[in-house]
Amino acid sequence: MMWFLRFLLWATLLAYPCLRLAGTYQRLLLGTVSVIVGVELLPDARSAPDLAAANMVGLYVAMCLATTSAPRHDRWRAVLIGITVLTGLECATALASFGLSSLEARRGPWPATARAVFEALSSVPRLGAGPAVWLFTLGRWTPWMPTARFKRIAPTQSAA
Amino acid sequence: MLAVPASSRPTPDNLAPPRGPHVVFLVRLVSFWCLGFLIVALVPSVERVAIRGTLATLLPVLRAAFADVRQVVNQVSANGVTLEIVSDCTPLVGIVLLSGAILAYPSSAPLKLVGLAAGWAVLWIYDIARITALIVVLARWPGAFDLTHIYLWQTCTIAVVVGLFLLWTRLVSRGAPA
Repeated sequence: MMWFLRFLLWATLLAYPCLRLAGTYQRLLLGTVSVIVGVELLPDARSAPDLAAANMVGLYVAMCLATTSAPRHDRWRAVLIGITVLTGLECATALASFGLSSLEARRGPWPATARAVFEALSSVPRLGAGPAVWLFTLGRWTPWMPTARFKRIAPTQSAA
Repeated sequence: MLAVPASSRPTPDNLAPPRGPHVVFLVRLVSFWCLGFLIVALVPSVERVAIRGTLATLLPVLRAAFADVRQVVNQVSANGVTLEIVSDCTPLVGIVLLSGAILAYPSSAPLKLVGLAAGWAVLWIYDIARITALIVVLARWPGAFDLTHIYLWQTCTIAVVVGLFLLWTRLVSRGAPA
């Protein structure tokens, strides 16, 4: 439970900085995707920046910092790897969305079912990416993860 | 004296817990999440029922808390604020996340059912409290709405899901045979 309290504390502390950085993060993502697709993409001036992407990075960092059972070096490495992966996932989602829009512009709209499937799958990273990446990088250091139940027999070490 | 080969000396890497079980859990978790979001997307009645249910439970709470509460289709007015209840306003996302975690975790079916039923109920109550809090913030401190909204919608939803999952894993570890 201490992990949970530390996570909540870090997530709360990081919420405001993430809100302030959301616009910059969105421009960074748009810039990256623009370079990849070779088309300049600009943020919609009429709407506020998407706060969820930057906040998800903050949530992920909070999870890493809360995992004090992991060595400090592993925690910081996980922070760096995770931020890169989360940024990559956001770019991949944006690229897929851009690809779908381009395809629709050329060949007409997709069937409603196909679009619903695409939107459903692209919504998974919005709330699941941070916890999933954390589970991969540092989840094994938490005692409440399913080590015991999925346990494989480790090679025995002889002290003789 | 027995010489210990360098490869078998304890180092931070070989003292670390194995990664395998967590990766198995992660793969199952992401699969269940994808399945859950697909069901929500492909069966529109799920979303409709969630919105209708949210409105049905939200209105009595708002009527108890504020005067002059009105509903027009999916829009709710209270405390001088009008909100439209859409899919993201319902507890569906939290329910999918928690259900995926419980279903992916290795435990017995009855314990999973208990976890799902209790978790869904708590998430529903949390969602009603979240919308009520947002109405208060929007009426009194509109400048703080963006921060409060993202904090309650994303940070707190994930925190509630993680907290419920942790509580449930404790229940599972108590019920597990030694």
